[in-house]
Amino acid sequence: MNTSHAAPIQVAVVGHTNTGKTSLVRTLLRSKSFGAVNDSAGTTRHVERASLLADGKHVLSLYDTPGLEDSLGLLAALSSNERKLSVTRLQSFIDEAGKHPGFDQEIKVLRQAGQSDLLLYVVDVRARRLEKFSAELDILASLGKPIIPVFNFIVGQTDQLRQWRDMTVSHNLHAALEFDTVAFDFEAEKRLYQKMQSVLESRYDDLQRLIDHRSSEWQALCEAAVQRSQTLLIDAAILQVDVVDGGREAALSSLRGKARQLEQRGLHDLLKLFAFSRQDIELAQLPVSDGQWELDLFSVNTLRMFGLDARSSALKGAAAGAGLDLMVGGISLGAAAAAGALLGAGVSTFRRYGKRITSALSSQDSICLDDTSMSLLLLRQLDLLRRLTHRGHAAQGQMELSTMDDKQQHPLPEQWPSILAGLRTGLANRSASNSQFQSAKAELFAVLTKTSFSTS
Amino acid sequence: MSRPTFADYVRIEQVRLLQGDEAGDNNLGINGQNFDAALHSRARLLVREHDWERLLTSPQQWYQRSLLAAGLLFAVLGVVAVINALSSSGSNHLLNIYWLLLVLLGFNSLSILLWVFGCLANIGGLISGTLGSIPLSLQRIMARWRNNAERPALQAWYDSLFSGSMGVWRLSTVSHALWLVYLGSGLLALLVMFSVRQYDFVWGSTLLSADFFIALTNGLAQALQLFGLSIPDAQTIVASRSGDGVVSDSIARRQWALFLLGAIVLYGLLPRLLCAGLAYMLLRQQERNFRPDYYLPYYVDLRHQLVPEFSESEVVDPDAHPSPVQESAGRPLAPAPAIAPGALLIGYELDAVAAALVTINILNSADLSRAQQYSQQATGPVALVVEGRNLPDRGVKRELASLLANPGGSYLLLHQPIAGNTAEAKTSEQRLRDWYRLAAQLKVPAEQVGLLSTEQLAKLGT
Repeated sequence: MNTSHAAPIQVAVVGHTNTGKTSLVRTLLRSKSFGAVNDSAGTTRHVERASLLADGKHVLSLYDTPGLEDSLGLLAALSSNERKLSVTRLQSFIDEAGKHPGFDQEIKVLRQAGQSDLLLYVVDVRARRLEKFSAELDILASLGKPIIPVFNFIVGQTDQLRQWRDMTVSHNLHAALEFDTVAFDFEAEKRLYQKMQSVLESRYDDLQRLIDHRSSEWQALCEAAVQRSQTLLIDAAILQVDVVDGGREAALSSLRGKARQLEQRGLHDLLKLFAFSRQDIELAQLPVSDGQWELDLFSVNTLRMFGLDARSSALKGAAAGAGLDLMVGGISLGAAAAAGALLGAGVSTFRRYGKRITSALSSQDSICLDDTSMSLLLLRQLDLLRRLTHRGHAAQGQMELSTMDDKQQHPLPEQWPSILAGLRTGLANRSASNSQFQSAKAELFAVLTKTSFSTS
Repeated sequence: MSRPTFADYVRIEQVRLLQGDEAGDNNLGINGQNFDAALHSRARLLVREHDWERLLTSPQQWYQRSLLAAGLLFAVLGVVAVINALSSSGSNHLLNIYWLLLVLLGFNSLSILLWVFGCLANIGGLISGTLGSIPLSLQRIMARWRNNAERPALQAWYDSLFSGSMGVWRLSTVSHALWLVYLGSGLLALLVMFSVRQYDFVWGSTLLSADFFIALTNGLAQALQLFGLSIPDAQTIVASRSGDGVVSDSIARRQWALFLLGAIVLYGLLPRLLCAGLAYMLLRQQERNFRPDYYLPYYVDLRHQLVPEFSESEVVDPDAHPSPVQESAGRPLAPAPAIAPGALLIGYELDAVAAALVTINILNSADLSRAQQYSQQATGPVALVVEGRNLPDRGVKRELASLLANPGGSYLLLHQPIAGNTAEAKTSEQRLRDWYRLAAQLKVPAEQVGLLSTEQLAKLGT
């Protein structure tokens, strides 16, 4: 179709002040360090550039520009003396920047927009459609560059969104895009590049390369996150503490301590994966403070919050804080392992199971996390994964979040009991090779992936 | 730069554990490479920087030395097995045929069978056999006496080489190779013996009859005959039974010798060689496909650093007139100021409810010019009513300024609807400060700025 260009595609992010231009760039970069974001006019007062890379090559340069604040005034200044709005008129206006100190920022925007291949016009759809926005579009359109309106803050704004769409269409802008910089959705990001492809035909291949690269990176990121959660859940499922000389209380507190530690480490790693800070989690209304889960894994309230009924008799142990099972039974050697032990590969096999067999014989107890605690751990991981994959790096305030005490919203996956049973066959040995354990592992991965990343 | 080899990946893993799984800051100037190559370069730099070379290679050296020692041991065992089958009676050198076949071929075949069965049924314990427990014990022993600083290098090396299928095929390869050494040294010893000495071939059994050995020999011989070897017949076999008088026929001797050598090659060496080849191929495949677990936070962190997704940002058109640091002290939420009756109420971008309560609500430039006329004609004070949550930008400022003929006598009222008092409708502290700043710029005194509910606005309007 066309050859790949060496120069990156220049995209200017423009729009009225405080519509989320810097936020858009942040979200696309997946970085919180770009620019400054503030709920105020004129937060960005300069033009700042950052490039998206694919395999180390600059593919797309994003230019964050100051907000347009006085488009009506600018339009009046541009059209004074009976002069019509045109590229040459704009150019001479930009060249005479010194003569128009009041429009310092607007001139910066126009200068950058004029040098770019494409303009992303960011719209806060919550705002009313006023004459000044029309004026902005008129001025930008006269530069003769393709413009893609990007509708921001769209959550729960169906009517407003429709009206904004009508307005942009009336300006002959048909390739508009819904992209919430706060409630992030990777599919929307992909659509953004696809829209760019449709209006920048000559850079189709470059953009396709970017799309492919970003998709595989995102995929890898999600998989890494799921894998981390999976590791945590497996580690917790096979966590085992011996009860030494009847010191059951000591064993209990040791087990709980270990479980909490596992979860905290997992949380820390996941935040790092998504390049979020502890602050993000607080803002995302997760019960976390100082990077620590605020709600204890073993408190009754936490159970309720996730819709697990702590009052049912089966879970009384958990509610009382016992939260544990005796794990003496339920150890299956498995036909294959038994055959191996009999046929002469006995040393390693006995080492694997021997301790448990001898402990069963000498009636020494071990304790592990009970089903309720494990279910809670799963729900918390699912919740965390869902939030992390749908949080834009521009998010500042509180998100529109589902409440956690809605039982229907996050039910336990129906395969969970069988997965948990499978995982437990690997007790005290996370590299167990029996097929039950392996298939439970695979199933857990599938459940985590499906539940966390299914588009809601 | 070519793709890193398996050894390079092992080294990358060793570096990871030596760093305690913490990637740290990496301003190494490694750019424009793919992740694998960048990791490799980084590992090399770190190894040089910390002088880890000896530390990293020592496990591999130990492993190779152990393999060499095991090879020597098995070579000796092969020779010993052959020597065990030899005895002398007077001036005659005797060789116990079936004893030799049992120690050289019997156990060998049994272990091959177990291995094949293990592969088919996917039983790791059977495939790697007792050898499987050796590296584990070795690792434990080494961990005990090696100092702690070296343990991560050993651990990473061990995990990379011996975990999962990689370990299974590696141990298989080693085990087949050792059996090959055993059989090969046995075969070599036999060849040497046969070349320089004359042996009489005998056999003996307490339980089994001659018929069993005739059947066994014929069974083994069938494949050998395909290669044109002549095989001892039933008579020779019976005659070779020890105690029945030694057969000193040179043809029979030659037949026995070739039968023995042929059986060892065909039933011992060849299958082993095949198995070893297969295991080695699978091992190489595993090694080629080996990658560290790039999903580990350590590697994800490194990927962010070594192969960034975006370039450092830079300001290309700086702000020529940075605004002075704005005072951050917020004013307390001011109640609506007392306004003399008869004030002109000019709304600015008000919502529908509030818009109905003012004289005129400005939404476009036509409204603005009309409002400017009203303002100029106004005899009393002018009160500008804006939505508190709206953003006061330069455009707003310019238009509001054009409405204030006498700023000192004007008011700026921030409408804040009580009904449907959502978080969104509320005026934030930040926004309130913005409006106060605007009022100051418009020269409206601070005490003439305040929040105003819809009801208050309605009262004012009447």
